[in-house]
Amino acid sequence: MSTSPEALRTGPREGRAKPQGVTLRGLRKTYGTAVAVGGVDLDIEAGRFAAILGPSGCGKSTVLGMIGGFVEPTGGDILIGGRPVVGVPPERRPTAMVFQTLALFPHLTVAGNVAFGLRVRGVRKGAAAERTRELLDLVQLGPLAERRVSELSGGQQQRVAIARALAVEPAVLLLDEPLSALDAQLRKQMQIELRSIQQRTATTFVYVTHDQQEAMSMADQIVVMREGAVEQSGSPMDIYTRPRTEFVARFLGDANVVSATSGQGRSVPIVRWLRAEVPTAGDRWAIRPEAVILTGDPEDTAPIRGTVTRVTYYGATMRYEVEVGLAEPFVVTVPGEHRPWPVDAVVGVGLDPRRVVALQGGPA
Amino acid sequence: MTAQITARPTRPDGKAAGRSRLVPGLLMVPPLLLFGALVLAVALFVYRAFAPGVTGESGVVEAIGAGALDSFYWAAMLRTVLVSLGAAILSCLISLLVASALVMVDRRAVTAATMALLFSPLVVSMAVRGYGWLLILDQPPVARSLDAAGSLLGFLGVTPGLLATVLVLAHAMMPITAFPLIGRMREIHGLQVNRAARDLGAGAARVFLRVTVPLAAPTALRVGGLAFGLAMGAFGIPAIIGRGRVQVVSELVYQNLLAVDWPTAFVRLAVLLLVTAVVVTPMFALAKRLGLRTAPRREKAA
Ligand SMILES: Nc1ncnc2c1ncn2[C@@H]1O[C@H](COP(=O)(O)OP(=O)(O)OP(=O)(O)O)[C@@H](O)[C@H]1O
Ligand SMILES: [Mg+2]
Repeated sequence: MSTSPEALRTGPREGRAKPQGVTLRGLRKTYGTAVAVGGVDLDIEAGRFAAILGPSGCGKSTVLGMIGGFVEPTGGDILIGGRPVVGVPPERRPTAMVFQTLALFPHLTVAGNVAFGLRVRGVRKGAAAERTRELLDLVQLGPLAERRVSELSGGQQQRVAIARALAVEPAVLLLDEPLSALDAQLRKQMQIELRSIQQRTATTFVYVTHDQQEAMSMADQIVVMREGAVEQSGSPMDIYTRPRTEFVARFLGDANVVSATSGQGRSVPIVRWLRAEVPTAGDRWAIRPEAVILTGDPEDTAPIRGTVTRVTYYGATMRYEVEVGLAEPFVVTVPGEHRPWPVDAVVGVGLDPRRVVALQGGPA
Repeated sequence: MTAQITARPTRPDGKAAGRSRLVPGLLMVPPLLLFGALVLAVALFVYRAFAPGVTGESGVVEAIGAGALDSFYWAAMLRTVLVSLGAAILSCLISLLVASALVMVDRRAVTAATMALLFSPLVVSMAVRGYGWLLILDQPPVARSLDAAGSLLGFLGVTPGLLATVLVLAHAMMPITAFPLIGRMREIHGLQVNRAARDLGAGAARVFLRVTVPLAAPTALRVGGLAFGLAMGAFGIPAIIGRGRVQVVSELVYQNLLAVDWPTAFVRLAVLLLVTAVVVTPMFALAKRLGLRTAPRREKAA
């Protein structure tokens, strides 16, 4: 195991446990006939920040629980640092978990919580205390070491939970929606802090969230899950600009999804244009609202024209809904500093074929 | 409906409020009468105990002089404390284990069946339970184990009968100790701290000793104190299970009362209560201190 007492006695800089990658192969979990996770294949590189993203009930926590050893898989393999860990109890895996409920020990002080993992792993008192001090400094809780955890704010408790998990120098840190209980401002602050802790400790993070903004802003790798399966995995930019399916396109940010099979179908100019410029087998395209250019007073020769049906001002941006002959209005956002077109104005809709994504599969 | 309600408006002169206090007041009469009778009985008991005796001195003083608190009494007291402590500890320990198991199994049917079983001492008459236990204790393997354990602990004045009494008293205390501890264990489980401890590298035994026990300790001390207090006054079970050879203080007091020796009964009872308080008070104080550690600290009013 990577977290021998010897390894723990050294400071965070010299001789730390190496981060390890996580590989899931055909990972399954069923409860009776209900499939919680149905065959997940996934590679997370060592030292990366991976975010598992998906709607409620899609199996995120179950996957995390299986990596941590709290949920027994029904089938498939889990490799951490290349070694299979299925059947290994949680206390003997090189992972540590930051629970959604935090699960801090209420009978121990802040320092006692952080030192717990070190003490049960046989680190001597003095060494454990020293290491605890370092970790509390890392999460900026040094002065509160002797406080009871119930006397801390939500954000401080969060940091205790993170320090406690980091104390055992896990090769992989698992975090299950750790910021969901915090208010928006603290959440932002903690996102930045967590990201910087991850980079300073060079630990592999597997971070579960259903907040796409959070995933986008923190992760090196985003894993989008849906109904117990991985829908797409890749870098945030990759996933945002190249969503593979309508589900992914809609789940991460706003997207106009144009389908050639619904609405008025092939007769609509925008569909004809897409067919010609961005051919796809699925007859389904995604266009981000900010990837569209609107032009006023279009000539009759403009390939796609539409009528403004709604204008919303957001300060930095302006959001238009434009009727282009589809079932849903076409959504376009443009920088806010321009003279707006009024409702009922006829505008030209300019698309760049390179910023249109051809989608696979059916509707979300 | 609406017409009826508006036809009877609440009176601003407070008469409606006066009537609403009458009913609870009436309901309080029987318990108050009962309480009054109890206070009267105690007063009468104290009066009789302190009334001048044959020598003209207060009966209580005479009783002490005549050996109400002699070595025989203190031997019975030691036995009573041993039996009660044993029963309270055993009952708490069994409750903790049962509660842990229930939380681990997490099946509604198992929990319901166990609860019913734990509750049964309350609904089965003590005499029936006692004789049922005698049947069990008379089984040769059980009797042999008790004899062996008794001779092992003999130097403490422990006898097989005393051990049997501890066992049966512990059973009688199960409803008191088990229910609060099961509730507490559920709370602890809900905190997920056991999982967290496992995750940080603690094995099952360490999780139990370093997380479960400290978090359950305040509850265990409180219910343990309660069970101890009740056991100190127990009279039927030691009489039946001890087969007359496990004399506890209540038994002595009972004999004094039969002999209409009020002063001796009073002195012995008062000392019993005192000893109980001496044991239980620190337990409750400790429970409070440990409980404070885990509860949010209240801000003192400025
Ligand atoms: N112990 C269990 N018994 C039966 N079904 C379960 C159990 N645990 C989870 N499930 C089911 O498995 C599915 C996935 O659950 P999971 O907790 O992994 O979802 P999640 O993606 O973490 O959701 P959320 O975002 O709401 O936390 C859900 O449909 C859930 O009802
Ligand atoms: Mg979850």
